[in-house]
Amino acid sequence: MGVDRIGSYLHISYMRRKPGALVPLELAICVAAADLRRTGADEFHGYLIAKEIKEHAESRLLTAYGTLYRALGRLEQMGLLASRWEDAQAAADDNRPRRRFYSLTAAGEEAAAQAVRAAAEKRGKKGWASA
Amino acid sequence: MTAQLAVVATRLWTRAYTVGLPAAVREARRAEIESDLWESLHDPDLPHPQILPRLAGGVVDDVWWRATLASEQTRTVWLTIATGCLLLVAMWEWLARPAIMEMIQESIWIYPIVESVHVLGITVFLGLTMMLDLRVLGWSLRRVPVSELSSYVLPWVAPSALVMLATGMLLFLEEPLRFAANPFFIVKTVALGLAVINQLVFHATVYSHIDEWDLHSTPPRTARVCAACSLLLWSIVLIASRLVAYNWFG
Repeated sequence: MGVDRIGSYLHISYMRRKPGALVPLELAICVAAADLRRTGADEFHGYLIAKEIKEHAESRLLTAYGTLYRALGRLEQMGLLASRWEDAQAAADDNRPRRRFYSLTAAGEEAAAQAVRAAAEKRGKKGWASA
Repeated sequence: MTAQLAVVATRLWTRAYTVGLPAAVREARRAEIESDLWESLHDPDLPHPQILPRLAGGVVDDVWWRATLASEQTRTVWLTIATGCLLLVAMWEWLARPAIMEMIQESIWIYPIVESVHVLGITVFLGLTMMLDLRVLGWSLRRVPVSELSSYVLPWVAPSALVMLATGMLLFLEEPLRFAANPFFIVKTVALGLAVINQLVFHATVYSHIDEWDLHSTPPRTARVCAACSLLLWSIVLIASRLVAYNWFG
Protein backbone atom coordinates (compact mmCIF):
# COMPACT_ATOMS: atom_id res chain seq x y z
CA MET A 1 0.00 0.00 0.00
CA GLY A 2 1.48 3.36 -1.00
CA VAL A 3 1.88 6.37 1.25
CA ASP A 4 -0.57 8.35 -0.93
CA ARG A 5 -3.26 5.78 -0.20
CA ILE A 6 -2.62 5.87 3.55
CA GLY A 7 -2.69 9.65 3.44
CA SER A 8 -6.14 9.48 1.87
CA TYR A 9 -7.42 7.27 4.68
CA LEU A 10 -6.03 9.63 7.29
CA HIS A 11 -7.56 12.64 5.47
CA ILE A 12 -4.10 14.14 5.03
CA SER A 13 -3.93 16.63 2.20
CA TYR A 14 -0.65 15.08 1.00
CA MET A 15 -0.59 15.10 -2.82
CA ARG A 16 -4.34 15.60 -3.00
CA ARG A 17 -4.53 19.19 -4.08
CA LYS A 18 -5.43 20.38 -7.56
CA PRO A 19 -2.42 20.60 -9.87
CA GLY A 20 -1.00 24.11 -9.69
CA ALA A 21 -2.96 25.08 -6.56
CA LEU A 22 -0.90 26.50 -3.72
CA VAL A 23 -1.41 25.97 0.01
CA PRO A 24 -1.50 29.11 2.22
CA LEU A 25 2.15 28.77 3.31
CA GLU A 26 3.34 28.52 -0.30
CA LEU A 27 1.32 31.63 -1.19
CA ALA A 28 2.73 33.41 1.86
CA ILE A 29 6.28 32.54 0.73
CA CYS A 30 5.62 33.89 -2.80
CA VAL A 31 4.04 37.11 -1.48
CA ALA A 32 6.81 37.65 1.08
CA ALA A 33 9.47 37.00 -1.59
CA ALA A 34 7.78 39.51 -3.93
CA ASP A 35 7.77 42.09 -1.12
CA LEU A 36 11.47 41.45 -0.46
CA ARG A 37 12.17 41.95 -4.16
CA ARG A 38 10.43 45.33 -4.04
CA THR A 39 12.78 46.36 -1.23
CA GLY A 40 15.77 45.38 -3.39
CA ALA A 41 16.43 41.86 -2.04
CA ASP A 42 16.16 39.66 -5.13
CA GLU A 43 17.36 36.61 -3.23
CA PHE A 44 16.51 35.30 0.21
CA HIS A 45 17.49 32.41 2.46
CA GLY A 46 15.21 30.25 4.61
CA TYR A 47 15.55 32.21 7.82
CA LEU A 48 14.97 35.56 6.10
CA ILE A 49 11.74 34.41 4.45
CA ALA A 50 10.56 32.88 7.76
CA LYS A 51 11.03 36.30 9.39
CA GLU A 52 9.27 38.07 6.53
CA ILE A 53 6.29 35.69 6.75
CA LYS A 54 6.13 36.18 10.52
CA GLU A 55 5.94 39.95 10.06
CA HIS A 56 3.32 39.70 7.30
CA ALA A 57 1.14 37.37 9.35
CA GLU A 58 1.83 39.30 12.56
CA SER A 59 2.54 35.94 14.11
CA ARG A 60 4.48 35.29 17.28
CA LEU A 61 6.40 32.30 15.94
CA LEU A 62 8.59 31.72 12.91
CA THR A 63 7.56 28.93 10.53
CA ALA A 64 8.87 25.54 11.70
CA TYR A 65 11.99 24.17 10.01
CA GLY A 66 10.36 21.08 8.50
CA THR A 67 7.30 22.97 7.27
CA LEU A 68 9.32 25.83 5.77
CA TYR A 69 11.96 23.82 3.94
CA ARG A 70 9.45 21.28 2.67
CA ALA A 71 7.37 24.14 1.23
CA LEU A 72 10.45 25.79 -0.31
CA GLY A 73 11.34 22.45 -1.94
CA ARG A 74 7.82 22.07 -3.34
CA LEU A 75 7.85 25.61 -4.75
CA GLU A 76 11.18 24.94 -6.41
CA GLN A 77 9.82 21.74 -7.92
CA MET A 78 6.79 23.64 -9.23
CA GLY A 79 9.12 26.16 -10.87
CA LEU A 80 7.95 29.11 -8.76
CA LEU A 81 11.31 29.44 -7.01
CA ALA A 82 14.87 28.86 -8.14
CA SER A 83 17.77 28.28 -5.76
CA ARG A 84 21.56 28.39 -5.69
CA TRP A 85 24.17 27.80 -3.04
CA GLU A 86 26.23 30.76 -1.92
CA ASP A 87 29.90 30.82 -2.83
CA ALA A 88 31.81 28.91 -0.12
CA GLN A 89 34.48 31.61 0.09
CA ALA A 90 31.93 34.37 0.78
CA ALA A 91 30.50 32.34 3.66
CA ALA A 92 33.98 31.52 5.00
CA ASP A 93 34.91 35.22 4.90
CA ASP A 94 31.90 35.99 7.11
CA ASN A 95 32.73 32.99 9.32
CA ARG A 96 29.29 31.40 8.95
CA PRO A 97 27.72 28.39 7.16
CA ARG A 98 26.82 28.69 3.47
CA ARG A 99 23.38 30.05 2.68
CA ARG A 100 21.03 28.61 0.12
CA PHE A 101 19.58 31.53 -1.78
CA TYR A 102 16.12 31.34 -3.31
CA SER A 103 14.64 33.73 -5.85
CA LEU A 104 11.18 34.10 -7.34
CA THR A 105 10.83 33.01 -10.95
CA ALA A 106 8.46 34.77 -13.36
CA ALA A 107 5.84 32.10 -12.57
CA GLY A 108 6.39 32.71 -8.85
CA GLU A 109 5.87 36.46 -9.28
CA GLU A 110 2.66 35.80 -11.18
CA ALA A 111 1.47 33.48 -8.38
CA ALA A 112 2.27 36.17 -5.79
CA ALA A 113 0.45 38.84 -7.82
CA GLN A 114 -2.59 36.58 -8.19
CA ALA A 115 -2.60 35.90 -4.43
CA VAL A 116 -2.50 39.63 -3.68
CA ARG A 117 -5.30 40.30 -6.19
CA ALA A 118 -7.42 37.47 -4.73
CA ALA A 119 -6.90 38.79 -1.19
CA ALA A 120 -7.88 42.33 -2.31
CA GLU A 121 -11.02 41.01 -4.05
CA LYS A 122 -11.95 39.07 -0.94
CA ARG A 123 -11.55 42.16 1.20
CA GLY A 124 -13.60 44.16 -1.32
CA LYS A 125 -16.42 41.62 -1.29
CA LYS A 126 -16.45 41.54 2.51
CA GLY A 127 -16.57 45.35 2.62
CA TRP A 128 -19.43 45.41 0.11
CA ALA A 129 -21.37 42.75 2.02
CA SER A 130 -21.00 44.52 5.34
CA ALA A 131 -21.89 47.93 3.85
CA MET B 1 22.59 27.16 27.47
CA THR B 2 18.99 26.36 26.46
CA ALA B 3 19.69 27.66 22.96
CA GLN B 4 22.78 25.45 22.72
CA LEU B 5 20.77 22.38 23.76
CA ALA B 6 18.10 23.28 21.22
CA VAL B 7 20.78 23.55 18.52
CA VAL B 8 22.15 20.12 19.46
CA ALA B 9 18.63 18.62 19.42
CA THR B 10 17.93 20.15 16.00
CA ARG B 11 21.21 18.87 14.58
CA LEU B 12 20.60 15.36 15.97
CA TRP B 13 17.05 15.25 14.60
CA THR B 14 18.20 16.51 11.20
CA ARG B 15 20.91 13.86 11.13
CA ALA B 16 18.41 11.18 12.13
CA TYR B 17 15.81 11.89 9.45
CA THR B 18 18.32 12.40 6.67
CA VAL B 19 20.22 9.13 7.31
CA GLY B 20 20.22 6.94 4.23
CA LEU B 21 19.36 9.66 1.72
CA PRO B 22 21.56 10.20 -1.33
CA ALA B 23 24.60 12.26 -0.29
CA ALA B 24 23.60 15.39 -2.26
CA VAL B 25 20.08 15.58 -0.77
CA ARG B 26 21.29 14.72 2.73
CA GLU B 27 24.08 17.29 2.79
CA ALA B 28 21.89 20.01 1.25
CA ARG B 29 19.22 19.63 3.95
CA ARG B 30 21.77 19.49 6.78
CA ALA B 31 23.62 22.55 5.44
CA GLU B 32 20.38 24.49 5.06
CA ILE B 33 19.30 23.79 8.64
CA GLU B 34 22.81 24.62 9.87
CA SER B 35 22.65 27.98 8.08
CA ASP B 36 19.19 28.68 9.54
CA LEU B 37 20.45 27.86 13.06
CA TRP B 38 23.36 30.25 12.63
CA GLU B 39 21.06 33.04 11.42
CA SER B 40 18.72 32.43 14.40
CA LEU B 41 21.56 32.70 16.88
CA HIS B 42 22.98 35.86 15.28
CA ASP B 43 19.76 37.77 14.60
CA PRO B 44 19.74 41.06 16.56
CA ASP B 45 15.98 41.50 15.87
CA LEU B 46 15.04 38.29 17.68
CA PRO B 47 17.06 38.01 20.89
CA HIS B 48 15.31 34.75 21.83
CA PRO B 49 15.85 32.29 18.97
CA GLN B 50 12.77 30.09 18.54
CA ILE B 51 14.74 26.95 17.83
CA LEU B 52 12.86 24.33 19.86
CA PRO B 53 9.34 25.43 18.81
CA ARG B 54 10.47 25.48 15.19
CA LEU B 55 11.99 22.02 15.56
CA ALA B 56 8.91 20.54 17.26
CA GLY B 57 6.46 22.20 14.88
CA GLY B 58 8.14 20.75 11.80
CA VAL B 59 8.70 17.14 12.89
CA VAL B 60 5.65 15.80 11.04
CA ASP B 61 6.70 17.61 7.85
CA ASP B 62 10.23 16.25 8.20
CA VAL B 63 8.89 12.71 8.48
CA TRP B 64 6.58 13.17 5.45
CA TRP B 65 9.40 14.72 3.46
CA ARG B 66 11.63 11.75 4.32
CA ALA B 67 8.87 9.29 3.43
CA THR B 68 8.38 10.85 0.00
CA LEU B 69 12.09 10.39 -0.70
CA ALA B 70 12.11 6.71 0.27
CA SER B 71 11.71 4.16 -2.49
CA GLU B 72 8.36 2.41 -2.89
CA GLN B 73 9.95 -0.85 -1.73
CA THR B 74 11.43 0.72 1.43
CA ARG B 75 8.01 2.12 2.31
CA THR B 76 6.49 -1.33 1.80
CA VAL B 77 9.13 -2.91 4.04
CA TRP B 78 8.53 -0.38 6.86
CA LEU B 79 4.76 -0.80 6.61
CA THR B 80 5.14 -4.59 6.67
CA ILE B 81 7.37 -4.39 9.76
CA ALA B 82 4.96 -2.03 11.55
CA THR B 83 1.93 -4.18 10.68
CA GLY B 84 3.80 -7.33 11.71
CA CYS B 85 4.76 -5.82 15.08
CA LEU B 86 1.14 -4.82 15.75
CA LEU B 87 -0.08 -8.29 14.81
CA LEU B 88 2.49 -9.93 17.10
CA VAL B 89 1.59 -7.69 20.05
CA ALA B 90 -2.09 -8.45 19.51
CA MET B 91 -1.33 -12.16 19.23
CA TRP B 92 0.78 -12.11 22.41
CA GLU B 93 -2.04 -10.36 24.29
CA TRP B 94 -4.44 -13.07 23.17
CA LEU B 95 -2.15 -16.08 23.69
CA ALA B 96 -0.55 -15.25 27.04
CA ARG B 97 -3.55 -16.43 29.03
CA PRO B 98 -3.58 -19.38 31.43
CA ALA B 99 -6.26 -21.25 29.45
CA ILE B 100 -4.24 -21.16 26.23
CA MET B 101 -1.02 -22.12 28.04
CA GLU B 102 -2.74 -25.09 29.68
CA MET B 103 -4.17 -26.20 26.35
CA ILE B 104 -0.71 -26.21 24.75
CA GLN B 105 0.81 -28.07 27.70
CA GLU B 106 -1.91 -30.71 27.92
CA SER B 107 -2.49 -31.53 24.27
CA ILE B 108 -0.23 -34.15 22.68
CA TRP B 109 -0.89 -32.70 19.19
CA ILE B 110 -0.58 -28.94 19.50
CA TYR B 111 3.11 -28.79 20.39
CA PRO B 112 4.43 -31.03 17.55
CA ILE B 113 2.18 -29.31 14.98
CA VAL B 114 3.26 -25.83 16.08
CA GLU B 115 6.90 -26.92 16.15
CA SER B 116 6.68 -28.31 12.60
CA VAL B 117 5.08 -25.09 11.31
CA HIS B 118 7.79 -23.14 13.17
CA VAL B 119 10.52 -25.13 11.41
CA LEU B 120 8.80 -24.62 8.03
CA GLY B 121 8.60 -20.88 8.69
CA ILE B 122 12.32 -20.81 9.60
CA THR B 123 13.22 -22.76 6.46
CA VAL B 124 11.42 -20.36 4.10
CA PHE B 125 12.52 -17.24 5.98
CA LEU B 126 16.18 -18.08 6.42
CA GLY B 127 16.55 -19.69 3.00
CA LEU B 128 15.28 -16.58 1.21
CA THR B 129 17.04 -14.12 3.53
CA MET B 130 20.36 -15.89 2.98
CA MET B 131 19.81 -15.84 -0.80
CA LEU B 132 19.35 -12.07 -0.64
CA ASP B 133 22.32 -11.64 1.71
CA LEU B 134 24.61 -13.63 -0.61
CA ARG B 135 23.54 -11.43 -3.55
CA VAL B 136 24.20 -8.23 -1.55
CA LEU B 137 27.61 -9.62 -0.57
CA GLY B 138 28.29 -10.11 -4.28
CA TRP B 139 28.86 -13.87 -3.87
CA SER B 140 25.93 -15.17 -5.95
CA LEU B 141 23.41 -14.09 -8.63
CA ARG B 142 25.76 -11.21 -9.43
CA ARG B 143 23.98 -10.33 -12.68
CA VAL B 144 20.53 -10.07 -11.07
CA PRO B 145 19.57 -6.54 -9.88
CA VAL B 146 19.19 -6.51 -6.08
CA SER B 147 15.79 -4.78 -6.31
CA GLU B 148 14.52 -7.46 -8.69
CA LEU B 149 15.62 -10.27 -6.39
CA SER B 150 14.09 -8.42 -3.41
CA SER B 151 10.79 -8.02 -5.23
CA TYR B 152 10.60 -11.82 -5.66
CA VAL B 153 11.87 -12.67 -2.19
CA LEU B 154 10.26 -10.10 0.15
CA PRO B 155 6.61 -11.13 -0.43
CA TRP B 156 7.59 -14.55 0.95
CA VAL B 157 10.00 -13.35 3.64
CA ALA B 158 7.47 -11.13 5.45
CA PRO B 159 4.70 -13.76 5.93
CA SER B 160 7.21 -16.49 6.80
CA ALA B 161 8.74 -14.19 9.45
CA LEU B 162 5.29 -13.69 10.93
CA VAL B 163 4.63 -17.46 10.95
CA MET B 164 8.06 -18.09 12.52
CA LEU B 165 7.55 -15.49 15.27
CA ALA B 166 3.93 -16.41 16.01
CA THR B 167 4.66 -20.14 16.31
CA GLY B 168 7.81 -19.29 18.30
CA MET B 169 5.61 -17.48 20.81
CA LEU B 170 3.36 -20.53 21.13
CA LEU B 171 6.36 -22.80 21.73
CA PHE B 172 7.70 -20.37 24.33
CA LEU B 173 4.37 -20.45 26.15
CA GLU B 174 4.61 -24.20 26.59
CA GLU B 175 7.28 -23.75 29.26
CA PRO B 176 8.17 -20.06 29.60
CA LEU B 177 10.28 -20.40 32.75
CA ARG B 178 12.43 -23.21 31.34
CA PHE B 179 13.07 -21.24 28.12
CA ALA B 180 13.77 -17.97 29.90
CA ALA B 181 16.44 -19.66 32.05
CA ASN B 182 18.12 -21.42 29.11
CA PRO B 183 21.38 -19.61 28.07
CA PHE B 184 20.93 -20.67 24.42
CA PHE B 185 17.45 -19.15 24.38
CA ILE B 186 18.88 -15.88 25.72
CA VAL B 187 21.59 -15.95 23.01
CA LYS B 188 18.91 -16.65 20.40
CA THR B 189 16.69 -13.79 21.59
CA VAL B 190 19.57 -11.29 21.65
CA ALA B 191 20.75 -12.38 18.18
CA LEU B 192 17.17 -12.15 16.89
CA GLY B 193 16.82 -8.59 18.21
CA LEU B 194 20.16 -7.58 16.67
CA ALA B 195 19.21 -9.20 13.34
CA VAL B 196 15.96 -7.20 13.23
CA ILE B 197 17.85 -3.97 14.05
CA ASN B 198 20.36 -4.84 11.32
CA GLN B 199 17.53 -5.23 8.78
CA LEU B 200 16.04 -1.88 9.81
CA VAL B 201 19.43 -0.17 9.49
CA PHE B 202 19.94 -1.76 6.06
CA HIS B 203 16.58 -0.55 4.77
CA ALA B 204 16.86 2.89 6.34
CA THR B 205 20.35 3.52 4.99
CA VAL B 206 21.84 1.88 1.89
CA TYR B 207 18.65 0.28 0.59
CA SER B 208 16.84 3.64 0.46
CA HIS B 209 19.10 4.70 -2.43
CA ILE B 210 19.35 1.34 -4.12
CA ASP B 211 19.00 2.98 -7.56
CA GLU B 212 22.64 4.03 -7.26
CA TRP B 213 23.98 0.47 -6.81
CA ASP B 214 21.19 -1.86 -7.92
CA LEU B 215 23.13 -3.27 -10.86
CA HIS B 216 26.55 -3.40 -9.19
CA SER B 217 27.85 -6.95 -9.00
CA THR B 218 29.58 -5.92 -5.76
CA PRO B 219 27.32 -3.53 -3.80
CA PRO B 220 28.70 -0.75 -1.54
CA ARG B 221 30.62 -1.61 1.63
CA THR B 222 27.82 -0.62 4.05
CA ALA B 223 25.42 -2.95 2.22
CA ARG B 224 27.93 -5.79 2.34
CA VAL B 225 28.58 -5.24 6.06
CA CYS B 226 24.82 -5.37 6.74
CA ALA B 227 24.51 -8.56 4.65
CA ALA B 228 27.45 -10.18 6.49
CA CYS B 229 25.93 -9.23 9.88
CA SER B 230 22.61 -10.63 8.72
CA LEU B 231 24.17 -13.97 7.71
CA LEU B 232 26.08 -14.20 11.00
CA LEU B 233 23.17 -13.21 13.25
CA TRP B 234 20.59 -15.45 11.56
CA SER B 235 23.09 -18.35 11.74
CA ILE B 236 23.46 -17.72 15.48
CA VAL B 237 19.66 -17.65 15.83
CA LEU B 238 19.37 -20.95 13.98
CA ILE B 239 22.18 -22.73 15.86
CA ALA B 240 21.04 -21.41 19.26
CA SER B 241 17.45 -22.52 18.48
CA ARG B 242 18.67 -26.03 17.86
CA LEU B 243 20.77 -26.05 21.05
CA VAL B 244 17.86 -24.86 23.20
CA ALA B 245 16.59 -28.46 23.04
CA TYR B 246 19.66 -29.73 24.89
CA ASN B 247 19.56 -28.78 28.52
CA TRP B 248 23.34 -28.85 29.11
CA PHE B 249 23.25 -26.34 31.91
CA GLY B 250 20.16 -27.56 33.75
